Amino acid sequence: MPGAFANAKILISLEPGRLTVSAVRGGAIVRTSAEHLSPVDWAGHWEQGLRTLHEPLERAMARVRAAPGDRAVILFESPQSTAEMMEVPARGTEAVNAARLAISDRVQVAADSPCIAVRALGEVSDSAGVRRSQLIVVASEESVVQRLTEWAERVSLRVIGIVPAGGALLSKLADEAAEHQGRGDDARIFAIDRHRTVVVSVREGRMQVLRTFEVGVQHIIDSLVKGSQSSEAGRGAGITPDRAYELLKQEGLPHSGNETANYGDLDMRCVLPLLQPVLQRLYVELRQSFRLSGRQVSTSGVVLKMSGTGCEIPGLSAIIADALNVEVETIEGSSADALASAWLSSKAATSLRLTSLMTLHEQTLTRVRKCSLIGAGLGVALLGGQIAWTGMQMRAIDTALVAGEADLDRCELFAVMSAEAAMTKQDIVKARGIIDQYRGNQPDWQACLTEVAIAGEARVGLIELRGMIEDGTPVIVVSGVADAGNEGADLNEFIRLLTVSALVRNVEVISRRLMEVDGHESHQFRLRIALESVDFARLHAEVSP
Amino acid sequence: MIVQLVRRPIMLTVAGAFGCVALWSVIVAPMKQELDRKAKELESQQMLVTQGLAEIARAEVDPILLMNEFKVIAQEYESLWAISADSTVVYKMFDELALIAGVSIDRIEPSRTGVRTDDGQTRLLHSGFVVELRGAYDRILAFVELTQTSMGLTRVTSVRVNPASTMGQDSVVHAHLVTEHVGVSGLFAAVKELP
Repeated sequence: MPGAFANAKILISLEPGRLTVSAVRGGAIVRTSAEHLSPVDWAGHWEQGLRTLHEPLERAMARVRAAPGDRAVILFESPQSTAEMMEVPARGTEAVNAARLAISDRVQVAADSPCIAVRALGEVSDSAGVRRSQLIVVASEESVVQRLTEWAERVSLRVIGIVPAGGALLSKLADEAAEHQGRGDDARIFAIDRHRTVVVSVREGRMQVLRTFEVGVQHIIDSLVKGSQSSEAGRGAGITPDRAYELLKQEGLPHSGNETANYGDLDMRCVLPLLQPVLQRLYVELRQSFRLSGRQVSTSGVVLKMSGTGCEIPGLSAIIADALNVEVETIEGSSADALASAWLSSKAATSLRLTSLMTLHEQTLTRVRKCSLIGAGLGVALLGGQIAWTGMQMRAIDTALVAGEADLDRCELFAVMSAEAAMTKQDIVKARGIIDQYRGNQPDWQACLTEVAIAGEARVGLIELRGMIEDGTPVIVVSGVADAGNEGADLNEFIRLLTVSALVRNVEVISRRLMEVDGHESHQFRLRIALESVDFARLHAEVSP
Repeated sequence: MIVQLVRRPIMLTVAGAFGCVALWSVIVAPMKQELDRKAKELESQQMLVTQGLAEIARAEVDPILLMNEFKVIAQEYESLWAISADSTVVYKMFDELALIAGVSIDRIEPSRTGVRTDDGQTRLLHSGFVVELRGAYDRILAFVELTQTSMGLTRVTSVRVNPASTMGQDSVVHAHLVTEHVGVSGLFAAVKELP
């Protein structure tokens, strides 16, 4: 699975005398542009915060068609940085912390600084059985990382990684060693870079050696340049490092077998004395690294695998094979660009990323901002959601209330009408009571007085009829005179007729006095007729239908 | 340094949190209170509707129909004492009834008036007249009958007739009537509100 560097669009390699910008697509370098820098000004560039490299960088970027905002990885060389493999007699975090502490003494940074990066390779047991962690540790001074970051950001690149070039090469060789370990193969591999050579040896299923020594192609180039500057150098006197590199790639490495011949434009006799120390050191370092014996003891059958920029120099592998009396194979597709592409795509590449404190702070700030924004967004979303949900609930309840209003109105109307009906019923009862009280208990005076008149017709003379209601009982008091003859038969008949009347309850004679009127004896009488209490309306209906 | 860098976003976060809480208090909390109130209102409404529908289902008579019947009865009662409540109308009606009955009113004067309140709501307005009239006996009785039947809630509390030669068509008798007229108010308030 590729790491974050696989997304890089630009790979910048900054080394003394050379600035290389490569366009990367899909983890592979597709275009490369280099700017020659004067090695003399190298320290000056750093002192000025790499501002002097702004224009070369822009030019190189334009040539590889880099766009503002492209993600960039920077590989750099600096005396204030280091990259090395460590074996620490500890495990896990303890080993990492120990490695950080160890390297912080050499590079002026704190042990917990983001300018130190550690890649854990694995664990091995030493001869005493102690478990040791194998680690690649890179570190750089804070100012270096900060300057590189600012330098790239000034041309609008997004820096996603800053790694010392030595660390990248160590990491790549460690990956290759791991592949051999995985297959159970023994392997001796070395990669000659421009400024260093990295050696890795896998034997008996463990990585025996992973080390760097400072001999690279640039040292060979420097030898050629120095040789060309001597008075005997011939027509090619004073060639540039780029020209020297071109010559190396075209003509191969000069060697003692053809020292009388011209090497391109250079006289070999001037070059070889300066080249030999470099090559000798390369041989010695390789021999020591792989623990090879000298020429006297045969080492035939041992195969070294070579990769890196050194593979681009014809004859270099043969010279090394001859010098070490071993077989040297060049790994196919192991040029500098191929190595860089493979490293970018490796999962472990990002583990050696250095970050300046400022960048770390900015990243922290960005994370805090993002968290704040997310928190604010969540808060607003929560609020909005709550408001929407509550509003939805309220609308649902409103709808239900409106739907229930018709039923409620019907029920309320029923209740109100029931109550009013009950109240009206009481009123009707009360009204009937009032009517009965004031109208129902009065006699039908017309009927009663007519009854009295009929009963007295031709029998008695009625002087006065007085009808009244006494204690709720209708009463008629009759005053009159009647013939006293025939034993008062007329009065008696009058009383009898009244007594049998349905309208009369009883007849009471209040007084009767015999008196003589015009020679006739008459009875002057007063009767009290108590009338039946009959409902006036019913009685009236019967009497006067 | 990192503390200084993150101070502002942290302060903004805290301020945002306070803002959220404030917005919650100002907007959401009242909405939730309103929601609770409406939920209770809905619950109450549903309970009332359930009870009301049960009562409607149990009811034997539709109260609206009943009230319509009561309204007719009430109108009859109201019209009954509409005449007797107004003494001026009563006064005029005596002349009309006398004319109908064929009697002459010699004297008419109010006897008594008063207001009686029944249980605080129903008011009974009493008025009374003393009427002296003259005419044939049967006409006098016809007048009494008309008074009893045509003047609303009216009763004749006493009748005095003299000389009571009674049934003779030509004989003229004098009559002295005491009447009582009652007006009622404060009843059927519910019926009056019906459309």
